[in-house]
Amino acid sequence: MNRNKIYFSLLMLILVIVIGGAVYEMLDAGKEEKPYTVSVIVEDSNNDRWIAMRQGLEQAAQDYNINLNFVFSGEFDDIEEEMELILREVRGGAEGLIIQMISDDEGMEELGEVEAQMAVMLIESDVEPQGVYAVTGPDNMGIGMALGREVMQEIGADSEQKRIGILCGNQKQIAMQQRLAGIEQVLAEKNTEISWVLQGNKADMIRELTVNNQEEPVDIIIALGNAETELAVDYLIGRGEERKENCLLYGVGCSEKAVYYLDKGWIKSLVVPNEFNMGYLSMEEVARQLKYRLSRAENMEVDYLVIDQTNLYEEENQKILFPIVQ
Amino acid sequence: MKKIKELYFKLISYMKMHAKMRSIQMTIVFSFTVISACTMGLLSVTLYSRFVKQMQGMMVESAEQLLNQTSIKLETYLRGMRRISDAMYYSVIKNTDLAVDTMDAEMNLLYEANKDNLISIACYTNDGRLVAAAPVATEKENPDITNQKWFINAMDQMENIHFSTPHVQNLFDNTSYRYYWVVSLSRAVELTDHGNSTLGMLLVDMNYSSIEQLLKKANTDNSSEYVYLMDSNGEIIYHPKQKLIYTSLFEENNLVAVGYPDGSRQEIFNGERRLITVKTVSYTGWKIVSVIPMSSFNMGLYGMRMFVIMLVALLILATIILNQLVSASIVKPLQKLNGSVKEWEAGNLNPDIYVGGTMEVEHLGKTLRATVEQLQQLMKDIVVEQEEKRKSELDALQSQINPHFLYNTLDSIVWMIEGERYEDAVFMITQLASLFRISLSRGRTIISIEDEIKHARNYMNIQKIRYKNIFTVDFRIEEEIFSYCTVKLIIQPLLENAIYYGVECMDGDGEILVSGYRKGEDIYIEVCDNGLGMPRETVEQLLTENNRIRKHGSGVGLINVHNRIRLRFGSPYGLEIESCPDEGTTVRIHLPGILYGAEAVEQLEGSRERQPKEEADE
Repeated sequence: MNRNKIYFSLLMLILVIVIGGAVYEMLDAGKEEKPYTVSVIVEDSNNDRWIAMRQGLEQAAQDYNINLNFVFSGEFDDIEEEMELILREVRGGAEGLIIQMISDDEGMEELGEVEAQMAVMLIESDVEPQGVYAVTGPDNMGIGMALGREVMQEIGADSEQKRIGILCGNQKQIAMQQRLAGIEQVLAEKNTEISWVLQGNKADMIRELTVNNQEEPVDIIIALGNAETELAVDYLIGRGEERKENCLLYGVGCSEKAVYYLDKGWIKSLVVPNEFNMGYLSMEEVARQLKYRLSRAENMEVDYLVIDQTNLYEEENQKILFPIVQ
Repeated sequence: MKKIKELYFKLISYMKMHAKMRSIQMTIVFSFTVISACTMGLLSVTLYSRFVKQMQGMMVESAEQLLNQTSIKLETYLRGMRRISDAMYYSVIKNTDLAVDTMDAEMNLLYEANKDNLISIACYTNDGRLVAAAPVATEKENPDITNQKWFINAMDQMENIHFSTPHVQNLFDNTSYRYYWVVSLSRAVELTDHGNSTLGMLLVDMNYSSIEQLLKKANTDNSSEYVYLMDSNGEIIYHPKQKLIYTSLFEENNLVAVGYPDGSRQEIFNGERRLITVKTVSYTGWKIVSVIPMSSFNMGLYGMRMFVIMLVALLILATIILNQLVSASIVKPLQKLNGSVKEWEAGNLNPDIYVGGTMEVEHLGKTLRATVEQLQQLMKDIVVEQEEKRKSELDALQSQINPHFLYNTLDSIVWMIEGERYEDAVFMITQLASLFRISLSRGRTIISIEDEIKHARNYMNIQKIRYKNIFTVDFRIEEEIFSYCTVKLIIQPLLENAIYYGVECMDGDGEILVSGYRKGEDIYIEVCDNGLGMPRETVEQLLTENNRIRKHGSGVGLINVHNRIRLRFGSPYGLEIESCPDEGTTVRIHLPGILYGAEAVEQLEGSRERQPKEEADE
């Protein structure tokens, strides 16, 4: 075959490839990409505290073409129950998981196996201090310290006379441990004594709170989680209106109930993590992981607001505190 | 610019260089394909860009239509809200003296009639005290009405109805923990209390979700195009990614876009080119903005682009194939004709000249074929002519021998008879007869060496008698060479020369030696004399036809023999002469060793004569 024939054949081949490629691309252009399925597992999924986060998740799912499965759940009795739910989602075909782990000490092997298979993002709290897993959450230590500073600002020079009780929630969660550590650090700086620290589940805690506060009444209650804040509000309201000024409540939360009681004055100061961002960023990161399989998920930190009655309705705070769609 | 020029010239020179090397077909296919591809490419680009422009126009038109529709809906909605405010003010507040009456019933009625779009209607005094509200609700403990933005704005511009940006309502206590996003429509009103006019504030809190729903309908498309709403200061009222903007996860160019006049324009925001269409909503000064990222527009055109590429590639492919076919039909006959010419060039004198193809090529073929035939005829003619010439020359040479020898011999016989030596004369005539018999050889030119030697002996016998034995002759011929072929009458002229130029003047001391032998494949016959010899220059001239020296006889002896041998056996053969003055001369006949026989004779006799004849027959 002479050179001209080789060139000619080569040209024809190139043209045929171009035509084939163009036809393929033309037909492929109309096809819609199959969405990935990402399951979100949090404790007590119907709780109001998840509204903002869910909005963030939904917004990111829409932006990144993700099929969001916000798994219905109640309060977990233990980590096994949560792991069972996680494994059920894995078996059900979830390609990515966003999980709020309720404990840091058990079931980690299974979680490790799941993490090796798919895109996993933990929210709010890590489960390993070494940072093995990717986490999207606020600076929990910072939240604790911010709460502590709010308390110290209120009590000022009387810090040594004031009695303080802390509802520190589920201390199996690293997040709660960090928040408690943050508060303790700030209170220790002013030699403020902590009368009692209550932890455990909701049912036990309300009973313990009642008993402890009767035995050793406190001037200030600090609640480190949304559930604990709501519980403390319920406790205070249950005791009557006159106690509003006698026992100040500082809490962490983002539910409408928590915000409402802040507005009403039952909560003196509330630290609100930006849960919309937590939802959006965690889903965004999982979507990125699903798209680029070889990439590794990274930790992401969301900010938080310190809100009291004076700044609740400030324009910038409104935008974060109150979900737009009612 | 200089570089482009250099590149252009390089390209041109490269094309010129390669054009010389290319075949016609390749040149035709290449040129036509390049022209077709360029034309199609240009056409496609032009059509595609026109299509893109048209699409852009349609997109702008569709965006404007969407904005118009949304704007109309929004205006209708806001007009409705203003009417509620107007109705409340002009029909209720202005007709109510707060000292004697309340406006609750009418306010409730209005609220109930429009509660899908309303959160609340409320009327305050200028110091922020609630006069009436619908639906009936518990007022917050300390809502600080007078410091709320809607209140301040309405008080600043009392003659206007003021529309706020979306905010969370902070008026009433809602025990179900509900907080409503509202857009407040506030206006300063005149309240009547005990017949006195006082300043008040009418607030109609529109449900923000009504506005949101209205604009959401314009954003149902899943593409990255979207519509957002902002107030006259560029503050966002609705955006599909509002929450992301609030939490700094998304950025919008609203503060710049607010300065855009109504209509469409392109902008670059965060490195992205976008098509922006703005429409101002009447009365409020709000602006609806449609954003179409050009990347999404290009994505939409991706299929079209692929279609154009496919179409162009397909057309080029078809053009190439068509060009190939057309050029082949033109060029193939030319190539065949060229092949015939190449065959002719390669040495085939009788090539099969192709005649066919288009009329012009066929004509060329026919002409070439006729030319080849004419040439062939001419060549044949030349060959025949040359052969004829050669033959006649040979005949002439042959005929030159006979009279020359006859003259010499008869001269001797005459001399004998004159001397009355009749016996010698008889012997001589007998020898002459034998000589002629061999000379005739039935007309053949090729005879055996044996006959030739015999002929030489006859001749020398004659000459010895004539010259009264003043010289001696010795024949030393190897017998094995007798059976080889030779051209006849070649030794005799040499002997004649040996006598005339060698031994004639030697007074009885002359010796002539004739020797014959075989060396390798060739035969050599030497005639040596011990005569006067010749200088080297004379020897060199002896076989040169133009410079021969004539002394005795016809003077054609040596050159004649030399030519005859060469003509018959080829140029490597012939005579070689060695001579030295006063020592003698040796003339050596060099012949090929061809065994004498009928076949060899026939071949040698006929080869040179038959060949032209055969060619002539063809």
